Order: sequence, then C-alpha cells, then structure tokens
Amino acid sequence: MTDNIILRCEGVNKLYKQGEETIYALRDVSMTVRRGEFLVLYGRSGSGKSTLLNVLSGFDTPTAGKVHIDGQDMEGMNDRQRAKLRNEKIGFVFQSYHLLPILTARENILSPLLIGKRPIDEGYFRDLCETLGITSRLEHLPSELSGGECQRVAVARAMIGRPAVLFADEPTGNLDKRSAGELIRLLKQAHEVYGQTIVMVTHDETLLEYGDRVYRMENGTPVLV
Amino acid sequence: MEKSYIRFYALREMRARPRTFLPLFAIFFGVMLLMGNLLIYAQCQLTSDIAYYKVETQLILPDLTEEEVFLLRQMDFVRQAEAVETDRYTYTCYVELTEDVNTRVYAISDSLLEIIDRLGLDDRSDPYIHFLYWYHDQQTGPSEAIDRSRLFNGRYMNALRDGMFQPATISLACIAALMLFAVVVLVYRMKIEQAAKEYACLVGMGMSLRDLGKIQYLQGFLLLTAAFVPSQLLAIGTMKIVSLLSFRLYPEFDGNQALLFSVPWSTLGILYLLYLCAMLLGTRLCLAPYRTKSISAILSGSADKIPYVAKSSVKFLSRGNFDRYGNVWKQRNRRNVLPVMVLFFCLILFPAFLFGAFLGGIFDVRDALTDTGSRAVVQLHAYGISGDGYKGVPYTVIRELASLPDVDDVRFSYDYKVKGMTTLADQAGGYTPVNTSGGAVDCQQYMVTSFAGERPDTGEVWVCPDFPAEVGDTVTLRQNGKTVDMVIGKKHPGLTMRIPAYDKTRRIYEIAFDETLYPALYGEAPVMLSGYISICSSVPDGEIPALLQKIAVLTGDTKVYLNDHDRFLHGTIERSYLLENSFYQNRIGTIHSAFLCLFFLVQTLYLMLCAASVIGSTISFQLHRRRAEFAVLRALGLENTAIHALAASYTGLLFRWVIPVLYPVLVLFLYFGNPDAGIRTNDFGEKVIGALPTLYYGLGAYAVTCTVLYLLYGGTARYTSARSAGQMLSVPLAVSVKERE
Ligand SMILES: Nc1ncnc2c1ncn2[C@@H]1O[C@H](COP(=O)(O)OP(=O)(O)O)[C@@H](O)[C@H]1O
Ligand SMILES: [Mg+2]
Repeated sequence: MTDNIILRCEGVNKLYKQGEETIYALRDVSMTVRRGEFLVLYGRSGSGKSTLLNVLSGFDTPTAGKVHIDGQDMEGMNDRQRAKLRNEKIGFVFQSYHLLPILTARENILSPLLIGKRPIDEGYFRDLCETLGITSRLEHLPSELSGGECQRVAVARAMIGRPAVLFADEPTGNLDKRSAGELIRLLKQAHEVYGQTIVMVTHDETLLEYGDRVYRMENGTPVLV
Repeated sequence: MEKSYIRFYALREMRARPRTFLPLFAIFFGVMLLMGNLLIYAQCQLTSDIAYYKVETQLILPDLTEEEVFLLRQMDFVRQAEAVETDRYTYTCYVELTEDVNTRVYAISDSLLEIIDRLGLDDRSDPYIHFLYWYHDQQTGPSEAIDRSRLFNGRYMNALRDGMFQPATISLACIAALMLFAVVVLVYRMKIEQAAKEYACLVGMGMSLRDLGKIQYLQGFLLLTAAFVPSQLLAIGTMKIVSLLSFRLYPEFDGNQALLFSVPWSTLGILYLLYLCAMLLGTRLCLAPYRTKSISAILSGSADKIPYVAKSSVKFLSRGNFDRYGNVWKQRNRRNVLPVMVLFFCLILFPAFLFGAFLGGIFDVRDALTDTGSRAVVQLHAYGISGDGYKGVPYTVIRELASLPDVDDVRFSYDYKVKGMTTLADQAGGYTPVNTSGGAVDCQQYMVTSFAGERPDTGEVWVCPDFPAEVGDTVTLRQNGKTVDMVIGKKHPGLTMRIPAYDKTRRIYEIAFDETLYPALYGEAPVMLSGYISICSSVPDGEIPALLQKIAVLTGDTKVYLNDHDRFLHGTIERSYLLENSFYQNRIGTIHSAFLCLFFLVQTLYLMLCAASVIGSTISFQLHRRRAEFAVLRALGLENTAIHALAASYTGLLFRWVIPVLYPVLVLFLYFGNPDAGIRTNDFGEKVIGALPTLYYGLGAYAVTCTVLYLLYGGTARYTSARSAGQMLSVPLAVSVKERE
C-alpha cells in the first residue's frame, strides 16, 4: 500500500513575513498523492494553492514539515542530489509557460533529458508530440507559437523525462476557453495513456470533473471534497 | 547539442542576445587594448634599458686612495677595477661588476651601495651622496638625483628609474583587473537578472546550481578570450610599428631612443590570469544572491527586491501626495548608487583622466613639432675627469666653433649671483637692491661668442624680459669675490626666466654677455671652458650628422656620441669632450610619443564610448523593468513629465552622493598618480594644488556625464512611457527574445 503513495507531506507550514505582518500561506498540511492519480487542487485566489504546489515539488522549502517524493526527502540533500531528484521525479507546467525563449520547441522539450544526461527515447518523444499535436511546430521558437501551443510544448517538456509527478499550476489560466479545454483533455489523455501522476491546481470549477480526487484549499489547508 | 548541454546553452544564449553580449565584448576589448598597450609599452622600455646592463655596467668612482682601490678589488662582486691616477695619490676607478650581479638592475644598485658603504664614500663627492639619498630616502626627487649623478652612470639611473616603474606596471594591471571586475559585476548582474526566470526554469528542470554557474563562467571565459587575443595582438602590433618606425626614421639611433621591442609574454600571461580571476569572482558574486532564493520565488517575480514599503507611505497616491512615492523611488535608487559609482569611476573617469593626459601630450608634441623657432642644439660636454681639475674646451676652439657657417650661436653657461643695482645712485647708500630680499638675484649667466647672430657690446649685459631692472640700469656681477658692474643693454626675448622645481620661491634669470667680462671676473683671459657649451644651429635634420662631424674635427680630442648610452658608458673614460645632440634626441622621442599619444587617445575615446553604451543599456534596462510601474502610475493619472522627473531623479541622487565620496578619492588618485604634482613634491598642499587642474578636468568630465545621463534617463522614460499602459502591463516571460532584451 505504501508503495502506491508517491508523494507525502506531513505537518507542512509555510509563512511569509512582510514587515510586522506574518502571512500563513500553508497551515499544517498533511496529504498524500497516489501513484497514477489525477489530483486536482481547487480554491480561491490567494488560498495557498500555488504555495502548496511549490512546496510539494521542492521549488520552495516549507517553514516546517516534511515532504517525501517517491520515498525521498529533499531536506538534507545537497545541490547535486536535489537537482537529480527534480530532474528525474518532477515535471512542472506553469500558468505562464516559462519556456526558454532562446531554444526551439524541440530543444525546450528535450532539455530535461539533456540536463540529466539521460538517453532520449525517440519513439516516446514522437509519440508525445503527436499526442499533444505539436509535431509540426517543433522547430519554432516560443515567440513564434500561440499560447495554446506554448502550453502544450510545456506539457511535453514536463512529461519527456517520465517524472514521478507532474505538477501543473493553473495550466489553463492564460488560455482561451477552447485552448484550455483542449489542453485539459490532452493532460487527461496523457494521464490515461502513460499512467502519469498529475497534481493540478485550478480555480476553475468546470475542471473539477477531471480529477480522481479533488482537494479544496481553504486558508492554507486542503480539504478533501 | 547532446554533447554538453552547458556548452550548448551558453553558446545559444550568446548568439540569441547580441545586445547583451556585444557591449560586454566591446568594453572588455577596450579595457584590454588600453591596458595591454600601456603595459607593453612600459615593459618594452624596461627591457630595452635592462638589455644594456646585461651587456655592461661600469661604475666610475673618482678620488679614491690607493688603499681604497685595493679594498675595492677585494670585493667579491667586483670583476675588474681599473685605476687611473688623477692626481698624486688619488685615482679614478672604473669598476666592472661580476656577471651574476651585472645582469640585474637591483643587484647593481646594491653593489654600488655596498661600495659606498664599505669605503665610506658618502661624504666624498656629490654624485654619491645624491645617489645614496635617492636610494635610501625617496625624499630626494629622482630627477634631481639623476641630473647630479649623470657623471658616473646616467644610463644606469634611467634603468633604475624605469625599474621603479615596475610597481606602477603591476598596479596598472590591478586597475585593469578591477575595471574588468566592476564591469563584470554590473553587467552580469543585469544580465542574470534579465534571464533569472530562465535560469530558475533550468534549475527547476534539474540543473544543479554548479552547472548553472558553469554556463556563466563559460560565457565569461569565451568573451574574455575573444576580446583578449585580438586586443593584445593589436597592442603588440602597434608597439612593433612604433618600434620599427623609430628605427626606420633614425637608423643611426639604436636602442636608446628607439624602443627595443619584445613581447612581454609573462606580463600578458599574468594579465590574462588577472582578468580571468576578476571575471570568475565577479560572476560568482552576481550569482550568489540567487543561491538562497527559491525557484518559485524567482519564477513568480517575488524574488525581485522591491524594498518593503511601510503601510504609512503606501497611502501616498490616495492622498494625492506624490512626493511620498518619489521618496520610495529614491530609497530604491540609493541601493544602486555604489555600483554605478564604481562603474563611473572605472569606465568614465579613469579613461577621461587618461584621455586628458594624452590630449595634453598631443598638444606638447604638436608644439614641439611645429615650433619653427627650434634649432638643433648640440651640447658639448667639456667636463674633464682626468688631469688637474677641469680640462675644458680651449677658448680658441669655441671661437672657431662660432665661426662655422651653420652655427648661429655658441654659449657657455654658468650660474652666477647678480647683485641688482640701479643707476639712481642718489638714493641712500648709493645703491638700491633690485629685489627686496637681500638684493641678490640668481642668474644663469651665459658668456656668448655669438647669440642668435648678434653679441652684446663690451661691458654690456643682455637680460631676459622678466629681469627686475630696466635697460640702462647697472648690475653687479660677482664671482670668486670679484665684482664687475655692467649696464643692461637690451632685454632679449631669447633669454628666459625659470622657476626651479626644488624651490618655487626662487627665480633664475638668464643673462648674456661677451667674453670681455671673463677676465674681469676671473682675472685672466679664458683659455679653457668646462661645463656645457651649447652650439645652436638651424640646419635641417639631415645635415646634423655632418655638422657634428665638423664640430668633432674642430675640437680634435672630441668624440661624437649620438646617444646617452654610449656617452655614459664609454665617453667619460676615453675622452674629455662629449658631443650630445640634444635636439635630435628630443625630436625622435617626440615622434614616438606623438604616435603613442595619438593611439592612446583614440583608445580612451573608444573606451569611453563603450562605457557610455554599457551605461546607456543599463539605464534602459532599469527603466524597462519598471515600465509596468510607469503604466500604472499613468493609469492613475500621473502626468508624463512627472514620470520623467521620477526616472531622472536617479541622476540627481548620483550627483549628491558621488561628489562627496569621489572628491577625496580623486585627490588621492592624483596625489599618487600625477608625476609632476605627485610624489616628487614633498608638500601635500602643493601636490593638491598641482593636481587641481586635472581635478577640475575630472569633475568637468563627471558633470558632463551626469548631464548626459540625466538626458538619457529622461529620454528613456519618455520612450518607455510613450507606449500604452496596456502594452506595458502585459509582459509574460516568453513573449519574444527581442522584446525582452
Ligand atoms: N513571496 C511571497 N511573499 C509574501 N506573501 C506571499 C508570497 N507568495 C504568496 N504569498 C501569500 O501567500 C498566500 C497564498 O498565495 P498563493 O499560494 O500564490 O495563492 P493562490 O495560488 O492560491 O492564488 C497569499 O495570501 C499571498 O499573498
Ligand atoms: Mg496561484
């Protein structure tokens, strides 16, 4: 059963100090993510969704508490080990894409493998691009792609290394309705075809149906719906 | 791209962002070219001087006793000591040093000191004493010491003086590295800030911070090397041309005036390493703040340091109190003052100083080259060191020299004190001193056989225009207790007044008279003259050697030496008279310094242009980053002019903060840097006063730069805020590469 749990956090707190004021972005969060699950985090703006995602993915450190990704604890790791963990276990899709502007779509997608000096699975790469519908756009720079295409490239980049967990922070936030629907369907497809574990953050209630489980963030605490 | 992602990414970034990397390259190139040139030039001078000492050094020690000569010969660093009897029981000794000593300038100097020490020569004769003072105690100006010590080894002194340039060379290299460091820190900070999100993204994808650092180092290394190699080749090439030119133009001069060219590989190597260290250190410093920030903070932009604004001051706009906002803005600016100040000093002021110096040099050179009144001045050195007292040049020979067709003017100079008097003898005591302090005026007195084709009448004296007495007045000359009265016949513009460097309160006036005065002062007709005899001629350059030959034939016992080196090494031993073509030497020195000045001038100008472009892009980057803020302010109803003022307020701050800090720095810089006003003068106040023109020049350059900066800021703000608020507010990360630059 424990094998099935890919991500676990216990007693995670995150505070932000601003002058005299302290903001409790996360309050005593304990939750688990199961392997192969599509988990949706939902909540109002400012409820701490992004903060939770960042802490879970290791992009940020919690003020207190522990996070285990695939059985490994980031705390106490050195820079190299952390980098390796991020490279192999984590994929991330951002609201504002964050593609590398100086690299083409193909280079962007392959970057995680190249950084980790991992072999490139050409079949998987082609497959992925086909699934996401970006095969014809691979030689373009991000500035030459539409928002929807950018985000699909970002998804491909996040998935190329077959990460343990794919985190997506409001991936549809910058897209129009049609592109958003398309992207979420593609994510779902990837989840089903490749058995990819996904943790997605959204404030859009219409997306809740895609989740295997849904948490609602309330004032820094996730509540299972 | 599979091979090494680090290399791939580093190169791709350099190619994709020419507007970030090209200015950096340009400024690296500029700094390196200028510094490389200065260093290579210095090094060439040094090696050409030391090269002579590798061949031979001879110390000449007059007035030794037999016992002292014996002791001298016992010394282990003395290879040979030839003693020539000068008087009964006294000898002049020509000392050659052993080979291991002879090849090192400092070793030569040490052995000379040791000789002086062991034989107790300190109080024996002038040259030693002055040399010793100079060596032990820098208080005695080196230039003065060199003059007085000429007799026994002028060339050697030159080498020592240039040897002292070594520390200066090293500090110059350090300044170069510091400049590079400042540039790296400032520009890399900007560059990393610009691409911070991309780097955070890379780290998010699993790149270690070390590898991220490697990307930066690699780029720095590539830029550095790409700038270093061509700039140093150019510097070496220029030096080679200067050296070739000086040999080609005047083939009869070798080594001394013509620059011996050699590529100082070790200096270049050290310089490269210094640059590399500066680059590494600078990059590390720039990356350091990002090590502690979380990836998410960088990506979300919350890592951008916008200082915390207390609640009370946030209300500024709602209350319509715009000043508050201005204050917040200034608070932010203040953090940028120091680095920008460093950039200013390194990239604008320092080259501006150099520029000023070289500009001055160019004017000097132009004056020297276009000076139509200048004539070839051949100096006949007539000090005898053998025989009883001075040997001198026979007076008959001097007359013959004056009658040569090409010779305009022959004068022999000696220092006199002139008691100034007027003919208004009816005043109390009969005589009124010309000057108020004791009545004596220092004169450099020339006895002339010809003076610009004329000569004073018997019993008449000519004075310089500044002389404190009038034509028709009587002056009294004193020499060896004898006095003679002379009437001022003419104020001649060819005579001048000079203020000696060692005592600025004194005035030395030149006066001229004919040979009939000599017996009146010395009690006998002149037979031999010792000292310097200046023979002025207006022959063209090409005919100077022929003239020298003629003079040599006339003086018989005279050997013609064309450069200092020959003269000092051989002349004093074999011959009593030495001919030195001082004008000729100055001319060639002038030519190669003209070339270098021009070259350095162009370089500093280039460097300043580079600096302006770097500063310009820094400003546009700073303001570009805040354009969303401008847009909001405008949306809130602020006028464009207020925004411009806000943007330009940085300049005002810079002005207020920089002047009080920079002023003392400048004074110190000049204190040590300006050779005329600097180390040679002992008095601090005098140094500062001497440095003032340069200081004003620096402040002027600074004020101009500030003004330009102010306009730049305002202009950039105008450009930035001219776009629509909507345009400015939407700036997603990957809009386009061009846009983000
Ligand atoms: N870097 C930060 N500094 C201070 N407060 C922050 C920072 N990041 C987020 N917060 C605060 O933490 C809370 C949660 O933010 P976030 O997780 O971004 O919300 P969400 O993504 O749900 O909209 C908010 O109240 C926000 O103001
Ligand atoms: Mg969010």
